[in-house]
Amino acid sequence: MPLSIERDLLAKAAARAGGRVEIFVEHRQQAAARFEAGLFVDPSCGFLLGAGLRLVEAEAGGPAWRFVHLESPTEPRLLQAADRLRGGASDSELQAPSAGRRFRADPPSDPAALVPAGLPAALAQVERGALGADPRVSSCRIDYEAWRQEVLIFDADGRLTEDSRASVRLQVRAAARAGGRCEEGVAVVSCPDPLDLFASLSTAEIGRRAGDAAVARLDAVPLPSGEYAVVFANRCGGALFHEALGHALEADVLLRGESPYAGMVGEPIASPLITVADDPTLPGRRGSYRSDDEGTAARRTLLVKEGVLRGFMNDRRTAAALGAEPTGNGRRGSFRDLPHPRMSNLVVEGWKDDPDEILRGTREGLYVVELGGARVAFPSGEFAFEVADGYRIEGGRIGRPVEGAVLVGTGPEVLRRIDRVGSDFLLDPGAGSCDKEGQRLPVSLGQPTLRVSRLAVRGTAR
Amino acid sequence: MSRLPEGDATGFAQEVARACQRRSGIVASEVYLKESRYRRTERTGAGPIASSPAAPAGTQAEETGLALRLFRAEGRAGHAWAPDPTDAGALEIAAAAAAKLAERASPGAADLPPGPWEPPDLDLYDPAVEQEEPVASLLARIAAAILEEGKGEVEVESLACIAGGSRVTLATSAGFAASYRSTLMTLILALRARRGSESVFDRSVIAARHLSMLDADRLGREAVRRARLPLGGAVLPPGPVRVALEPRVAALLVEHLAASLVEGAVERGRSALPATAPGESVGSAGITLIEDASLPRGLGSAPFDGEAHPTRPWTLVERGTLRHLLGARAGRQGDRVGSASRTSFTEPPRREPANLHLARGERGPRALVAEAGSVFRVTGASLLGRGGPASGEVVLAASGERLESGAFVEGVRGVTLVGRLRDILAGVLEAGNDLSFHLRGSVVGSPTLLIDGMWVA
Repeated sequence: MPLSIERDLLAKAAARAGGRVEIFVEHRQQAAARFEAGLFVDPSCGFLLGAGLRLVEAEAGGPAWRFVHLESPTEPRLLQAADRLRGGASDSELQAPSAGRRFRADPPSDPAALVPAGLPAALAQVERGALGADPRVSSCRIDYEAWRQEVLIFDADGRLTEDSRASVRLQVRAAARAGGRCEEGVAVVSCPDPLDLFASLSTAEIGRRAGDAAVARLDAVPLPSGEYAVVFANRCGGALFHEALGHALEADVLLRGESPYAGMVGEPIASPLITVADDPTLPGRRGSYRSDDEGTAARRTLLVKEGVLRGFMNDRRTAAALGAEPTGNGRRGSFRDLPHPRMSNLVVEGWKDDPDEILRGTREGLYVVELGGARVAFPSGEFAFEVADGYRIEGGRIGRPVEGAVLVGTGPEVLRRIDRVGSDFLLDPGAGSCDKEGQRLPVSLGQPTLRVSRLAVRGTAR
Repeated sequence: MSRLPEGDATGFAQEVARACQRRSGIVASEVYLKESRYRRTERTGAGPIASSPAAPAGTQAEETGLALRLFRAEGRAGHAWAPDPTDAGALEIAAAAAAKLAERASPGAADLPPGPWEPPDLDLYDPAVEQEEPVASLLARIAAAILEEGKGEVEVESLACIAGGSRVTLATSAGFAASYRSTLMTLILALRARRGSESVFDRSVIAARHLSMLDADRLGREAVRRARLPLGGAVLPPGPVRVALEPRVAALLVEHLAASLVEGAVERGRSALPATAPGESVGSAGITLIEDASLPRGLGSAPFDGEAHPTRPWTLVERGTLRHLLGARAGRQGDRVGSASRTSFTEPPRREPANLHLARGERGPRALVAEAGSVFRVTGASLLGRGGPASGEVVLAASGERLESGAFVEGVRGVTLVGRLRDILAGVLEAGNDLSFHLRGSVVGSPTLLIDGMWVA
């Protein structure tokens, strides 16, 4: 573990708290920068080191929570925090400066390493790729972010677990103009290491994708409202499943009485063509980890098998409340936060249909490549998804792009109406983040091409 | 609150700024310190009010950190931060990292920091916000108001308040050094309205600098009204519709509009506005848009911006005509808008609006709709549209009520409301006099807006 913290100190702190205590220590380095109009601007980096201590007895339904967190902890402050959990230290004592050995990263942090020296030149090539895609592409903005996180979890049973995670993400937004109309196209790539960022795609190719997407939208036409057969491309990334199914299968939602799938384990909730799992063990994905933030080993959790609900995602608290096992989904935004059951990499497994045949077999409909903003209401499961990149299906072929279309329905309803599932499973390029309880976490999604036989679409054709 | 040397944050920051300027190749430096402490108080359902400075999930109980911006010649700047200002080792790591990033930045992208001047007092600090009892009492009064007004049909899912204070200190190697304290309380009201088997959820976020700015009875009554309206609501037929957007909904449009007004957006083809230069029209004469981070007690106010420049009012759109762009830098230092925003020490200053708002009109919201015929008053909405600043496409998932000459006809729910930003701006008929500010990505404000130019999808 690259943190200079001895196990004995953690054990001593836990003992001072007088109960079953979990200690989560986090060292995080992060960096960001922007490239626009030929300039590499606002490069920024930094690091933090902190600890969160939780009295685990609270899990069984005792006090609402007993949790303390510390920034830049020293040995005396860690022990003070443990006293505080026991009720023996005041606020002012905890906040006061204290001498003592500081926790350190070993080797020392160098957050500037997350901004490689060659990055400005590489981003300039991305920009050239976007601007060169078409004369109508008028500008390009590139946002770069990178982070590396080391965590150490001393759980209530005295086990010490370590994990290391990292992510680099590039978002390219190109704007295209024609005939007084402006449109934007977005391309995102992500990987665990800055040096791998441009390994699978050339820099110019990343930019060109954003430029092409912007230009395609210039021809978008409004769609009349109505019910359509909707084909979701495998590139769609499973956002519909993440929002309309995944969150409803997080056990804290179940315990709050907000899951539309309460009491339905073992019962069919979706088309028999649908199998869904959450899998943090996928190598190199944005939502991957070896251990969750409570020290539970990561594992694949089957949620829906051939349409039948198999279970929910649990952290330790919800597992205790439900009499279930933790599923390795206890994740937290930082050491400042309590963990919650959260998705990691949500995957909808492929079936056997030829994706081209799915399209050819859809005489009229809507082809969705990317979903945008969403609103989902629980416990009804009602949703509204903006179609960020979609096309008419006319005579079994992809037609003109559409603008302003919104999919509306409910999760349970749409899951049952899936009638074709392709064999072309694809994981997204790692663009995803998920917000819940004020905590943002990296996630990944994957799905094959699939079709919903009938779905209400609100369009803007007048 | 402070882990810094007692009572001398500005002196400490100046000392660090001077030390950084002595590094090789560095011509100027800027030191930004932020110390915050917030307490979350929460009431869930009918349960007791719990309070803890060590917050549960989703809140920051304490955040302290220092950020450095080091400048090389030709306007190259690098930004780096460390969480503990008193840790000399961490400071050295941050200084070395900032210097390294400054070498990699493009020239001409950053202005050198300003010299000394005296910032004003904007009355941003209320000690009562930092105390537990007054905040818990306010929540209890709001809960009681909801209970009384809800009449068993509307219940509290949770009432939460994040309240606390922060101190911001900024010093530059050119001699500017100042510090200010501020408080902020954010109320999050989550209500559920039930009628028969129907259940709808409403979430409101209300924020203020001073405790005395919040009226518990009024907040409770308004929250119940909004939560109850969609019950049994109709879905409006597709077609054009005249809307009255309540301030918290209209504020979504202001936030969306901001992206089209940022310096560079127009000339780089990223603006949804029809104007291509100041002096051209962007919408109806009912639109006057002002940025003002110097508003006393303002949610987004600060006596100096994130780069140590003075904040002051700046009219961006005047009666429908574009006057200035957000973050535009004038030729002379004194003409700067002072709109470099920082939400945390972990982010470099960004050109973002603070207290960007549509100017209030003459008449109250009731008078506005009383003579407007058939109106869909939108009381709740989520912004779905992600067309981005370029397309200016606005898609709202909306609920509210249908009015005829100001009289209630029926509740409305599940409506998808769409429009193009330029059409909406052209269709603003009138602004009400009920301007209020809201915490979104930044602080934005609006009065009720009466608009032709939106469409039920």
